[in-house]
Amino acid sequence: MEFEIKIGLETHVELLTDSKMFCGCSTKFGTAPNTQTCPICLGHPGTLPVINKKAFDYTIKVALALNCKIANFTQFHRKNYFYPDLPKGYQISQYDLPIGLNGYLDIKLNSKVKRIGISRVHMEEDTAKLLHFGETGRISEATGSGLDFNRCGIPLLEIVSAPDIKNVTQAKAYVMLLKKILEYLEVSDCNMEEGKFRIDANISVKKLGDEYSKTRTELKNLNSFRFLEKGLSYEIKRQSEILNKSEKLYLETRHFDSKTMTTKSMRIKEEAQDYRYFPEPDLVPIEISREWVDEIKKTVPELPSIRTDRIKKQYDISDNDVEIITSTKSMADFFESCAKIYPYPKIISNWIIRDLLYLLNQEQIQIENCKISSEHLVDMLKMIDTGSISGKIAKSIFKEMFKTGKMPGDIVQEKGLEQISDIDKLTDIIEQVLKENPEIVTQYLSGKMQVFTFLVGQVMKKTKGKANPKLVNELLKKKLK
Amino acid sequence: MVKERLYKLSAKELSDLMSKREISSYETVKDIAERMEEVETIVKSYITTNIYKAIAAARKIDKFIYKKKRIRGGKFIYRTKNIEPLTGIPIAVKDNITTKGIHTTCGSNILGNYKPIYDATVINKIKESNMILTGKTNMDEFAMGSSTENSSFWTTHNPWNLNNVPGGSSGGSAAAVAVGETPLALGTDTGGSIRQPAALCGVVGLKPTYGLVSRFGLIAFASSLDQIGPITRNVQDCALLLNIIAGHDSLDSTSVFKDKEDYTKYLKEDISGLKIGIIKELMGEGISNYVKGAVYKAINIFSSLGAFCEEISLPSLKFALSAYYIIAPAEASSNLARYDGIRYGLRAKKVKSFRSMYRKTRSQGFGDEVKRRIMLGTYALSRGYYEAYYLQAQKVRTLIINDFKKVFKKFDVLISPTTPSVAFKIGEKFEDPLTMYLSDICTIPVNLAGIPAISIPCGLKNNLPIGLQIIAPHFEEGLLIKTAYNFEKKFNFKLKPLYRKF
Amino acid sequence: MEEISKKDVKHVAKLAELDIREDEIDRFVDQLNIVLKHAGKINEIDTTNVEPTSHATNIINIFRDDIVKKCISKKDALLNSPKTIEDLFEVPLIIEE
Repeated sequence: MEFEIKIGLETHVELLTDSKMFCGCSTKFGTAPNTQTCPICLGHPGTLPVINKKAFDYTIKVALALNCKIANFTQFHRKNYFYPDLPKGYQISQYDLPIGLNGYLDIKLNSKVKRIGISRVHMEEDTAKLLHFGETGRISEATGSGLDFNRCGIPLLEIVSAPDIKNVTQAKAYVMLLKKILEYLEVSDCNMEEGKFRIDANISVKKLGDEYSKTRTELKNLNSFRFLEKGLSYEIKRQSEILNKSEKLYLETRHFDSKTMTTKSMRIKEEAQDYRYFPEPDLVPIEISREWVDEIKKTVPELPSIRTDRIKKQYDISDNDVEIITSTKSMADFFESCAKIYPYPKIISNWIIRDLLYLLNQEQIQIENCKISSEHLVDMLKMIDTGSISGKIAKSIFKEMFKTGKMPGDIVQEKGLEQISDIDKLTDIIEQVLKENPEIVTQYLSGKMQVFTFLVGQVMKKTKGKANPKLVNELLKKKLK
Repeated sequence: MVKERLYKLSAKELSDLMSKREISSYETVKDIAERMEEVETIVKSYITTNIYKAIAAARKIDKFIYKKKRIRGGKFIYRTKNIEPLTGIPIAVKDNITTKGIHTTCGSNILGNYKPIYDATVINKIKESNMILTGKTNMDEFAMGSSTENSSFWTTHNPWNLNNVPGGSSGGSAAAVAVGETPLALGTDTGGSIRQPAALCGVVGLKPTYGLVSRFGLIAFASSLDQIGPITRNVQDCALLLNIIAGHDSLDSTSVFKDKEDYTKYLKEDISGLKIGIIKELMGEGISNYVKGAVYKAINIFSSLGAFCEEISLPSLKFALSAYYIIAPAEASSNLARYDGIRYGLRAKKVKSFRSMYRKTRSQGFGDEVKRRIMLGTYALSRGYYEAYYLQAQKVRTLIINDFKKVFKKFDVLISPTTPSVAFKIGEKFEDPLTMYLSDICTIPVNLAGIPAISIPCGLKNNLPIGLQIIAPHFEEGLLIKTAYNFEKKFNFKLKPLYRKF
Repeated sequence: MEEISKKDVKHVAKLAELDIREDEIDRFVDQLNIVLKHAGKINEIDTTNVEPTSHATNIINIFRDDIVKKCISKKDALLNSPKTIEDLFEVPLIIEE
């Protein structure tokens, strides 16, 4: 039997602001529990929220990048429900007036473009973190759960796709592109391990020719690309099997279990939950003027697909290399700032892909945090071109720059790595080598040409690799004639 | 000269004597403490008293006031020549305003042990003004009520007649001011909770324009209606206290940017030519005849002072009470969701799941009236009822606002009774929510419109005070002060409980 | 308006996380019906083309700058909690639902 699938994805993204959504607490990750709180984010009686302007601007920025219509009037609503991670008993969120509406994202698969609708982009606040003692085994005798409110109140962006996604591949491509765009916009670091980029999915499966019923599954906890793939695949399979047996599907919420790679039912809904949304009386409405949107528009950078295409056209490098170079904004920025001051893009991309990426991976750091700037790389490349260092020496200089952030010229000087291209000096050394190896010279002269490299090696050894190899070759051949 | 008991004096009188160094802050607080000893067990205005800290604070302020310096010729003079008004003056604060380190219960068992970790903005302001906190006053639980009978702890008694209620929800504040347990108090007003108890206790109560006084630190009942305001013995004190608490606060998004005003300047103006509208809808059915009579007498006084009085109609007011009893409970149902027994407050014992923790905690912690309003509000917001109740109530709110706008084109201020009758007997309306709700019928429209109103005494019936309500357009507190002050001077009301020995 | 039923009261109590005892339900049903009957009067007034008012002021666009303020201490954060464990607020074991 054949099936048709409809997937809609809901993505929650923590915004990269310094302070929380409605109070001045820091958003720093990984600090000791309950050290980043205040009466406001703890929901103490009498406290009131005030909106973080930057978080609001970021939301407009994302909505623009996702081709949404920007609301000219918006307000916040209270979403009322009880859960221990929600200190006020309601989440300040948005309801019928989200900041961004009706956008889209074009994903590319096998060089075909597929448009995925973006239903809405809105702002809300993150909840506290629940730790289950039983699960973690942190406290063996404990039977309770614990709450850490450091995360509570961090600005959260919700991006809801239309149910336009037809299979797992598309879902993955959508999420990857979305993540890349958010990284390009520099509004979130999208760190999935730290829970800053979280995905829930709505999945409906139907037999070909049937109508979609309302029995979609809401699948939670798809918090890595692998889980997304596994979770969706499992769920599609599960639903298809049920339909094959002509059994009933339920409108339910399921949780992806990363241990078993299966999904578990959390709640079968008889009816949709009643959140009793109403306008948040503690926050005043917001009018978004055209000027304001224009200001934000100026901060939206060239988006990934456009940039990739342009770089392909503008520079003479392989498409494959361009894909790697533009996989993050910071890498593309690095490449282009080098290309601005150095005329051979192919050489730049080779160094980035072979050497820089290798070191970044090895040291597990991001390009924007690494000590090598475009000036570092370009200065070094120019030194190779003028023959003042050899390609081999350059590799070690590159590592040194990566480690210390010193300029290549300084490293060369400090370590005396400058290439020896002085003919008199080299001639002296060559003569010395010939004197020390009379029988090798005899062998060479009697026609055993392969011993030549041994002699070159001896010269390099004496100069600690600094001799200009081209010159050594020339001079040595001349001497041996 | 035999000094009169200081507790009987108004804040202004105390402040003047302190400026002249005839009395100290310590003497003032000491006398208030003595008065508390005399009457507190009978009237029960306070939930928490702060007398020890108050005395320490007063001594500290006295050191500052009495500090001298030597001038030329070897003479000593006081270092501080003019001390700020209300420096060293005691003030009581309703127990739904957070005070750092001092119990703030909101009149509820659920917050019975709650010690806030921060001060409300108004508390910062009164501290900065060197005022002295006498304690936290009794109130209906979460400010839901009109009699203080809904306090989880005890009912406050009306100092005019101990068998009667002081009104509510700021009943503790109003009774404390009336009986001399403090010259000044802060109350909060969501549907009349400052003005109604002020009326029933024969004192002055002002609900400022929504947004004039910061709500940061006011434990929310209905966020779009709540305001903090002064409860005082006279209009002059009211203006002085309003000077201190009004002003923009960046911690409250609904706080209004407005230049600081000195409200005492309106005390100097007369009201000849003032156009006063008498609200027809609040002078009809349901209002006791003796109350109407007192209002008519007040109209005569206004006319004698050169004001023009005329009856006007605001037809939408008929629906104000109904709209209020949808909007306020709806907001309350959400505002009170945070009381879950996790971060503060009561937690029920022996709970096995977090759901049972919620249900048991909230059921044990909240009283019946609060539960009623939470259910009412939850119902009004729930699916299928939102449009007919909540949304419709908000539209009615718009109509009420429009009606006020319309009449304020023609009139400077409006008047009405503050309450339909004088203070009722304790227990009389307790079992009958709707009748209790009806006692707010005159005050509620003002909260829905977000405009300011003041209640001042305008008569007595069976030795119980009657209140007159004066209503002004947005941010016209000055007009209220001016109108009320002129009336007060002429009417010359005597606050008897101050002289009463219990 | 239709009257609120016992079932409605139970449903609303569940939404609001309140336990209402069986012997209390009838009283709540009666009291809520009296109030709702009065409140229902708002539907007698024509509100066609009337915008709802959710805020009592006409202020708009209030924001704060993204500036970090000093947090309170862990001790203060946990001070009022009825139950804590290892610097966390403790709640009964939560089974995901």
